[in-house]
Amino acid sequence: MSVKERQFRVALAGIPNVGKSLIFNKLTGGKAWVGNWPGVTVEKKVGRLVLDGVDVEVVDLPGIYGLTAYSADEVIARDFIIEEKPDAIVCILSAINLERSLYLAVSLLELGANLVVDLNMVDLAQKEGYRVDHRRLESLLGVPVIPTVATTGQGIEELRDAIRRALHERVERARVVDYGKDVEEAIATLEGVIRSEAPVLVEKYPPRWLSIKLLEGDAVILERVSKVQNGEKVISAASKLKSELEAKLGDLETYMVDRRYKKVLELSQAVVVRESSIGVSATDILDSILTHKALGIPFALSTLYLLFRFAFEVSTPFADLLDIAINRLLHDWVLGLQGLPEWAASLLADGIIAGVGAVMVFLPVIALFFLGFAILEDSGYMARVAFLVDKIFNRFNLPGKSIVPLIIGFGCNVPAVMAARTIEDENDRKVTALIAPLSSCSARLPVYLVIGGAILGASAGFAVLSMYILGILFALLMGWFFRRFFFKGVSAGFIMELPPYLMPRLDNVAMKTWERTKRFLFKAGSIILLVMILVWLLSVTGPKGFLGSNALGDPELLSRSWVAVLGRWLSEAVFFPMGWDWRLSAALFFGFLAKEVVVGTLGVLMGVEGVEGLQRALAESHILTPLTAYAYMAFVLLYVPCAATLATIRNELGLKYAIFALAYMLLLAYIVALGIVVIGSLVGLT
Amino acid sequence: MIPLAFARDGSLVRVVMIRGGGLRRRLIELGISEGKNLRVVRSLGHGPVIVESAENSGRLVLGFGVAMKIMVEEVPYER
Repeated sequence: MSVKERQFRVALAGIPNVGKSLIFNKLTGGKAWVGNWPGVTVEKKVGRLVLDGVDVEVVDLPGIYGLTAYSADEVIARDFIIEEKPDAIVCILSAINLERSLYLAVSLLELGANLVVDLNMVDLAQKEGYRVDHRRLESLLGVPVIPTVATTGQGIEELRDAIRRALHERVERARVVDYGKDVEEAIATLEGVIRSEAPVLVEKYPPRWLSIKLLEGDAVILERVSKVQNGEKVISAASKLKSELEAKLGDLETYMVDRRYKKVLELSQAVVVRESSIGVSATDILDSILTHKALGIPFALSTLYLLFRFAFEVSTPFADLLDIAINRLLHDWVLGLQGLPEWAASLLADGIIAGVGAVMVFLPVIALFFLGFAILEDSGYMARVAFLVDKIFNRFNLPGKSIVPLIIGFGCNVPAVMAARTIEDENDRKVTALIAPLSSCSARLPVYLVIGGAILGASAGFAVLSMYILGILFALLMGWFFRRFFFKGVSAGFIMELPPYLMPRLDNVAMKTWERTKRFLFKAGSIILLVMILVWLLSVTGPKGFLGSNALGDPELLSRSWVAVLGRWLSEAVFFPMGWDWRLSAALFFGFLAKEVVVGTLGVLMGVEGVEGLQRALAESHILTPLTAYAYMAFVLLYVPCAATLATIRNELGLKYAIFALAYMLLLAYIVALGIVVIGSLVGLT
Repeated sequence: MIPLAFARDGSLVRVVMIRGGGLRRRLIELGISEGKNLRVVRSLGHGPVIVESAENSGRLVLGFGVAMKIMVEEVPYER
């Protein structure tokens, strides 16, 4: 971030699906810095807006429904408002989901925010036959309300003006909700106690808000208040008032949330003007098929299949071009460089460039997969899929929402692990992040294709398909297993907004695609570089020292390298029941850095070039039977997708969980591969 | 009284009870509280449901786990 002193800071808030990212982009021109909120791995997006030559920092708060202590995102948002005291907050409302949006706006006002309200999606409300009287809303709320259509940019200029005005004249409407005589008296009493006993709290928190939270029994606030001087006195005053009120009103928290919601209903009824009655909407018609009890799931499977076909078919020419450019032209050019020591040229060409190349070849298919996925997501379809699979997922004690990371995993496991963030319940989230790597990512496919094609003949297609099914099956089974033994308790279930179907916006889709693809590129790129150098070292050196930099191209030299030593040890000590020879074992070791490397390594180890050459060599050498080949494919599916995914799990959940993931996946892969070989032999397959 | 997860497709139900404190709070914030009517837009039958709490408030998917914790009774349709 720039060291230049910022002049003003504005935060954007809104419930999910209100078009907040789009408004953020329109305001800031799309340039954003991404960081993490302190202490948590929720992404923080910061952009810059220039108003009359004055720099305004725009902070994108997480999508939230309220400001409670029950959700990590909500605590982040309110802490930001309390700690950083933004000069203004833009709360984006959805005209087609007014009640829920207003609840957030009211909660923000109570927290003392200097609010500008952006009433977005007014065009969609019109389509549904009503409009929201924004002037009326403005006078009822007492803060500016600007109608916008973020998709077309309508109203953005006015929003800018309103922000500018708000920066200079602060409006506070903390008393927006009237909690009734008894509670209001208690709030006033408590405010008095806070001011006299613990004035240090007043510097930090708006006293009315603090009193409300204390009466509601907000766990996070109670803990923080208990830590300041005389905090205990404030808390005991609050709990006394609370129990007095509860004798009269029942559970106070429910009562207060209810009052707040009543205010919201009152506001929403006052400002919604029905203009025409509409019959059945397009969303209803689509949903009658897409969420149908019997038709819904087959339709979802066909959609997924189309997504795959689209990604793989369209990407092939691009992948081939990249392959030629990096793995042949650039690689050969570096090898032919004059004046570079032989080992350095080899490290560059066979280590670094080959490693980066192996990743880059997957860029087109992953980018296209994420493009197709972003279109599905933005159309509103993924929320339907989560609904459809919820019943099945529940049998395995997982929420239906876990399907989203698993599908992203078909593209690349790195963003899949990160996508688990959207799951609210901590245990559900951890379990989902741990099983997401079992989803068969696009880098595993070449391994199935080469081995299946070489050994399994006519059943190759079925074998490849079965890998995808096995991946999901084991993801569900392991999910159940983890919930049963490590993260005990039942799945918290999920609550998800079901947006109307919308035509995806190109800019939004492009942004999402780029964000996920970028994660793959940078995360994978940085890890792979390190591991690739290590692998290169192990290949050009052996127990007898440096073998010469041409070891990577010479099977005879390579068989004396550390890699061969390791491969032999693996074959004899670990994989002996499966009957994989040292080359197959060594290739698996290389596969740690990225799965597709298994193919390249096998090629080098068998001394052949190209996929067809490798398939012929595999078929003729008889190092694999159909049975051991299938076991090999299953092992490739299940044992740790790549070093980058493990690094992502470490980032998201911590080192302990990364080690756990590594251990369970190795064990699972081994057991399954062994099971295939043993059961296969017993029933007489070879 | 039945869990919302068992409610019929297309039926109108009234919320009688919500089990679980944190969940209850969250649902109230989303406009679902005791005494309120919900339209069951879609039910998979002993599974997740799609509900609508009022006009002009978006639809919600409630996963099976959540739908089991909301106890409802059916309200006869008034047209």
